[in-house]
Amino acid sequence: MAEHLGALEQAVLLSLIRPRTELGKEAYGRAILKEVQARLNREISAGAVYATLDRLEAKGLVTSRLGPGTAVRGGRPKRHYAIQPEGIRALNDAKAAIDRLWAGLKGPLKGTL
Amino acid sequence: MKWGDFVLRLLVRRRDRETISGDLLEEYRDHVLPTRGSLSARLWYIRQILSFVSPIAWGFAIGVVLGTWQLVNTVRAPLADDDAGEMLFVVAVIVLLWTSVSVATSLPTGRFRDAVVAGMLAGLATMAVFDATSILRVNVFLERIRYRDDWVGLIARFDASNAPNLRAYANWEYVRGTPMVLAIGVVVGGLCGALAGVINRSMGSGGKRHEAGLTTSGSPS
Repeated sequence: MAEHLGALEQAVLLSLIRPRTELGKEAYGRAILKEVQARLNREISAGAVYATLDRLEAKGLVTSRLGPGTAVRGGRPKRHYAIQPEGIRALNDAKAAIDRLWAGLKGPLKGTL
Repeated sequence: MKWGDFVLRLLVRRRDRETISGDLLEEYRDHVLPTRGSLSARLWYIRQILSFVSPIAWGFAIGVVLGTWQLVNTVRAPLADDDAGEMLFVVAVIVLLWTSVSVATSLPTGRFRDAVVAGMLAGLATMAVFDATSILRVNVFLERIRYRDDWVGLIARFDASNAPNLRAYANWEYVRGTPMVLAIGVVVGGLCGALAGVINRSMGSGGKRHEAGLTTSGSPS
């Protein structure tokens, strides 16, 4: 059954597939948070991103593993995330749904204010 | 901010305590402190911690404050009538808080449904705690509040009943009213959530702009 993905879920999954920054390629919590903020072009709270990661992991769309920490983070470990085939499928479904919605229309739309 | 780290660890799953606190510390040292300065960075850290508080926890906290306010008022003036202006103010504050919780919870997803659910959960939690403190109030202050004007009806129903004593009857009436109190919390909270959903939509994509990262170090201690 196709998963319905919200905008934040899509932004998180897309940041795992194609990160735009060097930090983003590490795919741990902070890196994903920064990637998502860059993609959505607004500040997102940490709690919202971690809750989304939890949800995606529970759905089986991503997996995680622990990695070593660094001095700047007080030696605390990092949790690295990786997208799963189900996650890619869900993203494709989400894009197809948007494409169907826009079928026959060419943006930007013109209108009066 | 060691206390902040302590609170954060209480709010997240045991599995994620080290990793999430490490992520926030890294961002704080690497980016936030150098770009925003000490005070603003501390506020950022507090805001991030608050973002891990669920709508239920917010609702619970609001309920504790509301219940405490009710108990303090009872101690101060057990027989005083409720002041209409004061009650209206309290209701307005609660509605504002439930709406704010719903906005904050649903802003990242932008889903109307998330806003409504957050409002319902906050309302349910607040009213559950408030109802519990109301029952506590009945049992602790029964001998004083039984003479309140708004207890005349309950006393009359007790006299007409076969209840063994007023305490048992009052408890039974309050517990019987609990589903209605919870339902009011869910419905009004849901309406606040719906209002939050509308607010979120009207805000659209105009959120705060993201800032680029920098590299220096500091400490939130």
